[in-house]
Amino acid sequence: MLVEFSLEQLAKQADMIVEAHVTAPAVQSASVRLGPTDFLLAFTDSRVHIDNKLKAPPFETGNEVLIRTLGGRTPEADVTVDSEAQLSAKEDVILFLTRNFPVDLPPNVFAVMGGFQGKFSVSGSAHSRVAARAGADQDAIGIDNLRRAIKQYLDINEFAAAP
Amino acid sequence: MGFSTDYRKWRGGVCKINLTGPGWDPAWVPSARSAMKMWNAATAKFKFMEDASSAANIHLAAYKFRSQGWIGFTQLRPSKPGSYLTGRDVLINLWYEFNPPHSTETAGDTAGPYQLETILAHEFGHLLHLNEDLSGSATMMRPVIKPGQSRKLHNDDIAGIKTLYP
Repeated sequence: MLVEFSLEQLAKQADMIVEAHVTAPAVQSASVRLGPTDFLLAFTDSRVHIDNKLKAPPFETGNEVLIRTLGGRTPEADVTVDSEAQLSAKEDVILFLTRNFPVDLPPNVFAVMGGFQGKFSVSGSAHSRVAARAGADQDAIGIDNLRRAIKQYLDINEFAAAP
Repeated sequence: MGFSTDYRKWRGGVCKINLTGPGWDPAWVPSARSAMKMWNAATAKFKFMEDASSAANIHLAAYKFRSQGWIGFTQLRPSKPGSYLTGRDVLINLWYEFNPPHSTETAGDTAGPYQLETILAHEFGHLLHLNEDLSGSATMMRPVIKPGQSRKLHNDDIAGIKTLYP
């Protein structure tokens, strides 16, 4: 189960927000034992190419990053996490990314904030691109409107943080 | 839209849960019992039962890790399609604040508290092998929770357990 994030919370708490396309989903799966509980956690890495950074982290990332999602198939684990962000080959996406993950992430590897809540699939023609999240209660939104909303939340955040 | 499941079941309609796993606060036991009772009240053909021994099917555990939103996990085994379920763990992330509060751990995220009983009832739904419900309905299997939000079983959840254990 996930805590519920509003778009404003996603925008403010994400380390990086990108428009990107998935170049190689499920390039790597691994599993680790989590802390003292011996809980076996499986995860999958997918490669994405960043087309545009709507929010950039205060460190260099380059234009290709790995996205680590929970769930995966290894010899000792076969774990499906329905509410994780699902990435498909060649998919255009807007991703709210974070460096927080149950285990430490290597450089240039990010997780998706709030699982499925932090991934918008982008579709439509060049003049009417829309972004939508998984789930029937998440309405599609014009991509320009989504960009504006994100910018507005970030501007407010920066203003509030100014001395 | 209704429940979804892969129809895998617990042999004999019983899943035994150990409420004394690593990190599990004794103050959290009543919430776990309430969540078990919620599902048990839905049908006489399935029972979550307490088992303090290491032979229990499922162990409740709590562990703190920085998270991008995950407050609870359920892990089951085996993963073979068609097989009976045998067990593993339900893990609660102590990064978040809960109601009731954990006696010894301090949360890293203070946006809560989140209702432990509802989170456990959701994870126990996964023990039944009910899937996440992304339809937007107010079911127990809706995968997200807000601070303070408390949920009871929805008709779709009850239809799910009754279909698995008619």
